[in-house]
Amino acid sequence: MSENLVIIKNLHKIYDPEGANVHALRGINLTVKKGEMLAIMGPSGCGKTTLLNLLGGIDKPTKGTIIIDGVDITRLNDDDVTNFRRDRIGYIFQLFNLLDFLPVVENVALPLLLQGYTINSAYEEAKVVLRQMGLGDRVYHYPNQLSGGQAQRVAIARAIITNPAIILGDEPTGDLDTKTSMDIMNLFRRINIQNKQTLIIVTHSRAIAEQCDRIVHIENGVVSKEEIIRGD
Amino acid sequence: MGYIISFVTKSVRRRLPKYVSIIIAIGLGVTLFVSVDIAVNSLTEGIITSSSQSLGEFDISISNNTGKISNNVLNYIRENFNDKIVAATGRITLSTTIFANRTGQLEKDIDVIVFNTTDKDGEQKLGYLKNIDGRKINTTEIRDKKYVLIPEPLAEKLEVKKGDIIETNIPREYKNGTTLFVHVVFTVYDIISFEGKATESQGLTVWLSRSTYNAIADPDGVYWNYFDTIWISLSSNHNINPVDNNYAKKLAQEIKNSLINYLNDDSDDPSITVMAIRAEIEESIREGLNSFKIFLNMMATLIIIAGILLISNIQMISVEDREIQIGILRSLGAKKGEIIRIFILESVFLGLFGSVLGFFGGLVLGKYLALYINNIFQIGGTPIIVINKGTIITSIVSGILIAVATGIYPALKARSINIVEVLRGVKSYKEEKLSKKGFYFGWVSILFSIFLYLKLSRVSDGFILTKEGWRTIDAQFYSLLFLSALMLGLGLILSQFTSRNFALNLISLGYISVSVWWFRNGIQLLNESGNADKIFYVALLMLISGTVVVVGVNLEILGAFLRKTLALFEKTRAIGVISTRSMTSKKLRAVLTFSIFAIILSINVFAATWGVSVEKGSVDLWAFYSGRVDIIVDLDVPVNPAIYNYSQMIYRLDPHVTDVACTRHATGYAKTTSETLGTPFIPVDLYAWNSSIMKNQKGEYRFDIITNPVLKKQTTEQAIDTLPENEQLNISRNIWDLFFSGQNFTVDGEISNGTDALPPVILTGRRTITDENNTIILMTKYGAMKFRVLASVFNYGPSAFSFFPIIFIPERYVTFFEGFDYINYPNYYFIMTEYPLNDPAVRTLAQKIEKESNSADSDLRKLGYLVGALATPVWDYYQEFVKIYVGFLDFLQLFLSTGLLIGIIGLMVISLRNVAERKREIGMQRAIGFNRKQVVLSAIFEIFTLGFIGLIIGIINGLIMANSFTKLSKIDFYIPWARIWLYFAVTFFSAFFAGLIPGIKVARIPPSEALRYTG
Ligand SMILES: Nc1ncnc2c1ncn2[C@@H]1O[C@H](COP(=O)(O)OP(=O)(O)OP(=O)(O)O)[C@@H](O)[C@H]1O
Ligand SMILES: [Mg+2]
Repeated sequence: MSENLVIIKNLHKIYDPEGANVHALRGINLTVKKGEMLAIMGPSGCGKTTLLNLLGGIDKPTKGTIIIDGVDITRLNDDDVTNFRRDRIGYIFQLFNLLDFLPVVENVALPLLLQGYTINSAYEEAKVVLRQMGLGDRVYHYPNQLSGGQAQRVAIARAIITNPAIILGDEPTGDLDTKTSMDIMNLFRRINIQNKQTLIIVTHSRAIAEQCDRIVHIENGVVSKEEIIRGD
Repeated sequence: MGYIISFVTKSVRRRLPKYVSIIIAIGLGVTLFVSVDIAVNSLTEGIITSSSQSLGEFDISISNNTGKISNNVLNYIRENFNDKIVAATGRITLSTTIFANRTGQLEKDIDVIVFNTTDKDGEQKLGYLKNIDGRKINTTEIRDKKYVLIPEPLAEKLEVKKGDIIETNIPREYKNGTTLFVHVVFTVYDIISFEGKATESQGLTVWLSRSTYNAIADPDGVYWNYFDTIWISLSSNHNINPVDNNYAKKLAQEIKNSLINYLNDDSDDPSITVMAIRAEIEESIREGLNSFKIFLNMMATLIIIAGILLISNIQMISVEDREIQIGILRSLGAKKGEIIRIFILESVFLGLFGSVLGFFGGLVLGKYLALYINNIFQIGGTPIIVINKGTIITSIVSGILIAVATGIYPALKARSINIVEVLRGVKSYKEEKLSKKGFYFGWVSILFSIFLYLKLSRVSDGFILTKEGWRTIDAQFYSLLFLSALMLGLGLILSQFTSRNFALNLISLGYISVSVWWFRNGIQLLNESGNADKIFYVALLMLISGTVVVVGVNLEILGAFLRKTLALFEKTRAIGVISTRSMTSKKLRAVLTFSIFAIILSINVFAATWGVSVEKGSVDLWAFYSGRVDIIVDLDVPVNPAIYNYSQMIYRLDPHVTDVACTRHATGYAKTTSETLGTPFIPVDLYAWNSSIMKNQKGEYRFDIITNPVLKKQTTEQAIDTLPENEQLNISRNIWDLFFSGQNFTVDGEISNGTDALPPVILTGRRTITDENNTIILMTKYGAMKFRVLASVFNYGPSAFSFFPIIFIPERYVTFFEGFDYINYPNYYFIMTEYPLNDPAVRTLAQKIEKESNSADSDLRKLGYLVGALATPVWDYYQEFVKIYVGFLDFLQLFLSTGLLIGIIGLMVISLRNVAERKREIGMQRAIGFNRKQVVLSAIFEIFTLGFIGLIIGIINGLIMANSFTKLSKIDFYIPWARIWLYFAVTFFSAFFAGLIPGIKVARIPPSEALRYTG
């Protein structure tokens, strides 16, 4: 039961905007088990978002490998990595998560449409998930008509709707108050238990991180410390 | 102020692509105005130059009722106006056919200039004739001999050289007052170089000495002391010393008064006509081309409306772009006025750049347009490009006006930015009711409609919106305006109580219904001829604005429909969601974008459809109105049927000829009877008709040239050409019956035997010179005489291209006119065949007829007749007409297509903008699982949709309008598929590339980068 879902080896990322070398990741080594709920912490600018982007395949590392479920995603071409992402990964961003010209239901249904669901079945599915998130009455609203917490829940709904193997959350509770943040963490936990999905969550909050199974600390682009919160 | 400048310069640097687009759009608008200006000015100058050149060095002409003006008058002028004129001379000018013996070439309508070779005070002061070797020609050497001089242009056409033989007919006047043509043979004494006075009538002249002419045409010496015209010159070289038009006109008046006095002519209607001919021609050309210019400018304005939509669109985007900056500026203490100034200043800069661009664009396009128009109207020669101060002013003023006009709304929008909301990044998408301003504007509109109602009740005699109220141009015009204002006002007020969409739908559907009704039915009610452009323009604007707004308001519904359609296919499902939602999220932008296409294509499709329908669809119509006559033959010399039976010859040429009818025509002079009593007589073509021409032995009409009655009793409720054909025939036959009845008519159109009764005439419709009483004055042997106009003829082939009006007179009056002696010798034949009008066999027959008449070995020639026959298939008249008409419509489309360029730029800008501002969203889409292709396709599809909405609206509108015109003109409706496919392809490719390029650009950005973009 404790097979490794994600294996990161010697991961480097150098940003090179006009020659100003920014060595954001300097050799990350990390494994994540299937069904694990992992928190990543670290000071601002240490490379958390960068790591998540690489994991999600929306950016390419400078060096190193990322093996997810046996596939080295750093070797896939753009179309394949896109399909991989579409089918296996759910993404929740740090800020502005939703396409604000789409109503909530379409934001959520979009990944299913990409997978080839019909409009009706995708919408039905989206509505089911939104209802589970307590957003049954917000289906046809536009993102700018939602509160921050609601918007984040819609983003989570979109991330989980394809039942991905891994859900990546970049400060999913960033701007929210403690109560709402805790609600969202409970939601994550429920998903994690129900669907055996792996969650990797970046956060600045110790309290949030402690809801996870393990905390990985990153400093200056390397893993500096790991804490096990709860064992298997 | 300092920071305003720095704000502007910084913005310029950042927003270069947008500014470039604005400058190009303004530049295109200015280009249009400037090119119209240049093209029309150049044409005007060109036509004036060539037509005044063909006057030689003459400025004033003197003639009278009888066509014979005495030498005494010439002497009187020379004595009394010696210090004011350069030269005066008397001439006779004949229009005949010239046949070149050696080459067999024949030229019709050549002016034979009969001049006094020894006239030191006249002819010789106007300059000498030189031959092509540059030697001065001693004209006295051709005196009393059968010698003529021919200018180079005619010599080239006839291919004659010095010493060649030419033949022609010269009318000989007999003592008993009758005239008969005599066949004369001349030797070409020399070829004249085309310069100075030899440029008269474009050099298509033959110069004959007066003494030779006298011996041939007037051996009895009855008219040796008479001319047909006295010509006065005020400058011996108009190129170097031009004559002021007003001076020439004043002098002409002075001469006239003095002559009336001298001749003791105290009648109301002096027989003498003194005309400052050069000045009059120049002014009428200017006037004529000015209305052409106004028309082109009207079309240019339409394109500029499209341009203004584009620029406003871009300006709106710059406001959105700078919302945050403006918010910060405002929070730092910038006043609203200063924000406005930023935008206006920017607009003025852009306008100036646009002006410069437009000026040079206009130079190029103007030259091209001038050439093109020259070509369509077969003006000939190369237009001289005229650029004056006005052109430069036009470019600057129009550039800045367009820029400022488009800058105001965004500026106001920027001024009223809510600082708090902007800085918090709140965007609102919800639909609101129209603001209070809309409500007030609604009331203003209602007030305006009341004003229009009052105006309307005056022009329509109180018949408002009833059938009678749509009879006249003004009534229709104000009815449409009144309805527009009323519907707009009511709609805007209503919008306060219902949703905005509902109100806008109501207004726009109202506009569409009224304009479509007008195009399909209303236009048919019009029972007044005249320039109906203004009604057309209003209806057009109603139709375009209605269709654009109704699509705009219901864009969501359309979007949903497209989304559902695309959802049918797995591959396009997600793309459909993104592109349609993205389109409807910026509604104003979307509407502005497709309306550019809608406007331009509405007119283009209209012009194209109307063009092919006229070209292909009016054979039957033309056959009907020409009385099913297939060929018209015009002989320049009447032929005595006892010597040569011309009709028999035609029957013999082709067994398919079913009928040949013939009559006589001759040149006459006419003028209107309206208050402009002083207007000169103008030349007209008089046709003698008796009923045996029109009717067969059984008394049935052999052919029906359809007339449009002007007698009150015969006038129908409807314009005659909107009636079914058999009714038109009946009405027309009644008119011909009256015309042939031998009766005279009162001014009111009643049959009368009274002394005040007037003889009837029928006019051709195209150039009417009748006045509101439907009477006309013709010059007769017995002085000016009034005639009652019974009807006009439309679509009568020859009248379409005859420079002068054609007037039908009953045969019993021919003795009143010159040129009808030996009336039984016809010179005008109508030929009907079993062939359809456009059958090539008709043309072959026409060619055979010409050959039988004109060739050197024809029977006619053997009998001593020299006949210049012109056999024209009626279809050719029609083709000629169609060529010019369709050429003009093509030109219009080309001209309007510059607007398509604006549309294409619009698509590009919007597409660039869409992807630029959605970088983050696109990054997000990529993160969700959209691949590059899907991102690009979404961008393309969004732009595609906008382009196609415009295209579809344009096609539908264009077809509706053209269809109504074909219905009105009773021609078959043809859809110009080739053109429509062309517009389709243009829209397709421009939308494709407009979407593709920015789409690819943004799809290349790694999603992680795109996600960092914050706008
Ligand atoms: N596209 C880029 N170009 C240049 N430098 C970048 C780029 N993206 C990130 N960086 C740099 O890489 C480093 C890591 O950035 P990253 O966004 O991963 O930090 P983070 O740990 O997510 O910080 P935070 O907690 O503030 O979100 C930072 O120093 C950042 O400035
Ligand atoms: Mg981060």
